Amino acid sequence: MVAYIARRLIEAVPLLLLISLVLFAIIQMTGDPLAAYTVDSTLTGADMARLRALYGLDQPLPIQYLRWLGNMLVGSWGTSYVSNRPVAELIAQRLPNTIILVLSSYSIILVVSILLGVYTAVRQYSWIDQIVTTLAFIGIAMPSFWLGLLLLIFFAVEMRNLGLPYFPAGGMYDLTVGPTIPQVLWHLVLPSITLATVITAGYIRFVRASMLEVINQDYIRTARAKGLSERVTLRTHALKNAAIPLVTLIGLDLPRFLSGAIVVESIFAWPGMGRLFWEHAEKTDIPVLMAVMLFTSILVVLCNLLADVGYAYLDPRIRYR
Amino acid sequence: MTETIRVEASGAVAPADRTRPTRGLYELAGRRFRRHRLAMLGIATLLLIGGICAVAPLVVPESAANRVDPTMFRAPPSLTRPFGSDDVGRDILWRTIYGGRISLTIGIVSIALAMSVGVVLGSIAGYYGRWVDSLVMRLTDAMLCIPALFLLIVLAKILGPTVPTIIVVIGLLNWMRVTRIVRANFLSLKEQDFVLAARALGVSDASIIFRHILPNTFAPVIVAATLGVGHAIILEASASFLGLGVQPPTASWGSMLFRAQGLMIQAPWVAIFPGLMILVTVMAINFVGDGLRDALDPRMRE
Amino acid sequence: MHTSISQNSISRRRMVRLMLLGSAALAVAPLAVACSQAPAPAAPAKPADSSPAKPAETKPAAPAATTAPAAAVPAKPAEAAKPAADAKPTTAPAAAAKPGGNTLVMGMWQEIPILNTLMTAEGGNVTSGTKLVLRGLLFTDEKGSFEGEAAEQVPTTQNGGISPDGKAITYKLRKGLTWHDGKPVTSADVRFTWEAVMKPDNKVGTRYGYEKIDAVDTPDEQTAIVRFKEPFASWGILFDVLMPKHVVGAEPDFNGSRFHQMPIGFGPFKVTENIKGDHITYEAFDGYHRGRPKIDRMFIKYFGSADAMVQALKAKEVDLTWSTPIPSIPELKTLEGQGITTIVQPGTGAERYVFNGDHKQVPLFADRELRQALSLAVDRKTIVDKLLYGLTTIARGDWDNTPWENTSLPLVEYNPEESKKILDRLGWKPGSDGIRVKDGQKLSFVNTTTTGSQLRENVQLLIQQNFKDVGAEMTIKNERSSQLFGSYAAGGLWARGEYQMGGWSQGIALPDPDISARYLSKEIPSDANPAGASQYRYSNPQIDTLFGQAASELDPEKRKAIFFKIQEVMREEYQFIWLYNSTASWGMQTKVKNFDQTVKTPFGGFHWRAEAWDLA
Repeated sequence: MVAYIARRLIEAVPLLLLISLVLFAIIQMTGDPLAAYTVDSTLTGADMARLRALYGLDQPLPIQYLRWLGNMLVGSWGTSYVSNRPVAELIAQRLPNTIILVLSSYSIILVVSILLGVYTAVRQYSWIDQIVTTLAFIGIAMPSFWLGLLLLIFFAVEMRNLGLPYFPAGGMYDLTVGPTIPQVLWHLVLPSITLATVITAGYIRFVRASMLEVINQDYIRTARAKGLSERVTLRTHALKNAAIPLVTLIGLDLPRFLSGAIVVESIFAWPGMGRLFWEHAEKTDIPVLMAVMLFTSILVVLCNLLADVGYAYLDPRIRYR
Repeated sequence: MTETIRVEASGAVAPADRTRPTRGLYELAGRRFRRHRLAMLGIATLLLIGGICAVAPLVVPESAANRVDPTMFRAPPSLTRPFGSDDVGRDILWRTIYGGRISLTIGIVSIALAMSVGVVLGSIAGYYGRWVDSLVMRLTDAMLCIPALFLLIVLAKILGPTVPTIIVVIGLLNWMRVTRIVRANFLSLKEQDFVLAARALGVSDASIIFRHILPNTFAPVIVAATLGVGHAIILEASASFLGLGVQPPTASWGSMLFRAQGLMIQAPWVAIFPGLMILVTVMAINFVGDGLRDALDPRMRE
Repeated sequence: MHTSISQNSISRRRMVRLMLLGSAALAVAPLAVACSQAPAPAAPAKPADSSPAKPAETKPAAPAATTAPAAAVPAKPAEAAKPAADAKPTTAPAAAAKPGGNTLVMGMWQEIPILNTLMTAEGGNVTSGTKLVLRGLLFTDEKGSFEGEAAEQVPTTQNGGISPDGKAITYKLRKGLTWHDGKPVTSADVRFTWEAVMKPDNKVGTRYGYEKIDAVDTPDEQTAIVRFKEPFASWGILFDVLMPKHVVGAEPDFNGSRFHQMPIGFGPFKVTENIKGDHITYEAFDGYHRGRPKIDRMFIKYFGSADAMVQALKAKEVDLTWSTPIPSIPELKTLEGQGITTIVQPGTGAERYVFNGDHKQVPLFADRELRQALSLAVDRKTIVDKLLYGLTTIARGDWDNTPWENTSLPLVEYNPEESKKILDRLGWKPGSDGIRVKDGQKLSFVNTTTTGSQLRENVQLLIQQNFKDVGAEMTIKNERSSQLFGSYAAGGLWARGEYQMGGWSQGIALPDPDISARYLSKEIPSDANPAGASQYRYSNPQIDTLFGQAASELDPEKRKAIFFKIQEVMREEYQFIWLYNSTASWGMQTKVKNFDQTVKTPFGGFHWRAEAWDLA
């Protein structure tokens, strides 16, 4: 296993290089970093040329890429075209916020989806199963921006106007109070519930489906025949195998959300990586975009590796050769 | 537990209760599917919605469905307009029907595409392992690193912002998930006895993959398909929001929902009906999938 | 035969109990936090702000810290090291004695990327966000004319401020004017600003006007003489922002300086915190020469979506909302009894559809009468009344709501009958599908504007119907803003003229009418001239001449007459379909005082007389 992990990590380097090259090429097609300047009719040709040179955009593309790569390797992540701040600073400001959001959402997600997924599989067609399944469908069919707006209107506006305890309408903390822990927790409730609901709905279905697959297999029957209690049977045997798809999903979703749950962040004004990417994508702020995408890529590679290792742990029959 | 061994006409030997002669399996499955009430309900629903959407142009031409009516801005549901009117006075009932044409097509075709690619790649990767697995997985990793927004923009530029482009893009964004799920299942299933037995008996790789292992991995694939369709419909909305999908005034459920964000309090009916349609579609597809899984899974209880 | 799950398993009862417990826990915990954090709604007091958890403030005078941010990172739950005082719920004490004073929160859904207008080309909120802090030699008064800010008065020929040959402008600085850090504002700062703009390595945006300056003389600390190479009629727009020499000049790296995010100026507010993507904190400057602002502290808070921002206003979490989407205004209007109101002020910008003036690229629109017919077919009144709720006015042209608007010219009327008559006369006969055809060519064209605006799309849909009613087929094909507004080199559609009928809005930000770059033939972008600024692609020698005359005409009245003539000529060209005036649309809590005068002032921007704002 160690050899396998080492091999994967070594493979990752050329992969990431290739990916960064492809991403760099793609970015060039998405827009012009100096588009904002074009609107200003007072800028002359000489001005535009000067600006292009200052931003390093007059170099041929391969040179631009190599320059970027060189800088990355020595740890200088570049400067945002839009705000002239170092990209590292921007990411360092936003990443913890996203981590907080994702961690709190996932704690809810894991607990609820495993619990309900297992139960509805074990008690298929019971009335709890029907209710949970219906709710899950609603969660799947409802887009996150809708759920977010609904929660926002209900809990932040209506509850407040009714004089009941309410939740804030945006941001990470009340600006007049400052970033205290209770403040952040208070502001965390609605966005993490929104994010958690949408994801949990899907995960419940997956867990349920794979539990159903596993429950009726022979080794479960064997375990029961051996006299093991239901809970132990489920936990030690069934759950591990049902967990495999869950591990797959988390491995796929975690990088996606750690680079930003853009919709939730937008609705609740949560200053995370998603908004960083999105708002700078509009302006084709190449240094920021490349850095965020590289970060995402590293996460993708790592998470998939972790998922693969996870499979081997959960199902000892799996062997990587 | 004893296993009876049956010898097939082809000479292949399969342990009972693990796999059945696949010819019989599919026949049996068809029968069981038809008996699955919810699945039949799902099929009926999809056919009904699809049918209405398909024949709509014969009843009301698209231009009439999208006709702007300044006297009916944000009008609530009434007798003449059971679903109400939107921001520019268009009849939501007919826009929902026409929207279904786009959304259903995009939702179902793109996910079918993603499923096909994903299942094939996932099975090959999971079954063969080694460099095949490595190659497919690195390809998967690479695709996962490309942001959806950029893929949309680039492909819309190259192929033009049309419905087929969106289908391709959504397909390209979703196959990775299916691949990984299928592969994960294959990794564990291929070590099981029935596969070893089949291999020992000389059953071809393709046969093992498609007739022996694959039917056992349907469950998560079905769920992925269900979720995928819902997401595809919404993704199409984001695409049209960015000008990379269907252009106004063409309707689609997702874009109707999207554009209703500012109207949640003032005109909730603008969003309720397309939203309801998405819900119904997702549920129907899921029930069909459930039925398929129950029918094909030889171990499901009656 | 399958064995069913034994009844000793997870029994239903236990599961239900577990779920109820879980839901209760999930509900109670957040509610507890909510109760502790939500300020009591009845308390009129401003929430306590002297919490020790205030993030570290970065003084911009410190040498440029381009590495790890000194600005605060919001508290992580893991950072339990924060003083215990923070963990205590901070409920607002009833009727507190305002220890923090007046605090104003302004919601914005677009981030201000940089707080120095010299470094960027973005307008709107960048300008105002910057000018709350950074001011210049001149400012604008309530009529939209120039008034002195750092300069005691506006230089004119009468008071000797403008030399007889028009090439030297003399500014006398106000006595006692200081920067936020207390140092005096001197003429050296004026000269430094010009030098910084002209320095080749500095990532300054436009240098328009500054490159026409020959020298800036500083005979004494209170006098700055700006010498131009040629008389420059728009000299007033220069030096609208001054940078302090003792701060910026002392920094080795101009481009990477924190000054551009935390500037030091002599405006009514200081910047004390700028957390990118989250908020900016401004604090009142005691030494402001017009008097200390009544608002002690102001936040600009960023939202990710305009709809969410509107909800925040309804939740009274923000006091003002910038650029409130027009479709949300009616909803806010219904809340007038609950302390929320709206201000919608038509401004200088106008939304227009442009007929691509390049007749080779779009021969269809070469016919002036065709353009006229199409222009007559548009029902502007319905658009303004229904889609804009009557909140703005029908547009006349590029100089709307400025002193240079030629109001004697009539607006284009809505006359579909006349339109059809003209089209008939021109030989466009209606086809079987209702769309007119002439010589085998359909009267069909593509309309392009930016994606992402519900209002724009709705306007397109209405106009599409208008055109259909007279037999013209308009297809909608919208693109992302960066696609449309990109430079010629990058393939921007406006720059390349790759559009037929384009829709956008432009305004005039400073009180000067020279927008010739939009109209001049020599500004049409091409391979030879990729930086050309004309998106209209219009070419008319008469107009070129008129603009040329206006550029060097220093007499304001004569200059105005030239611009009137330009508008007269353009009206008959029907090169544009003028729709409606862009608005500054604000949502506001009624407790905010003196803000409407800010919004209603021409060329004001939301920084105008910010020192007068107050909270009831």
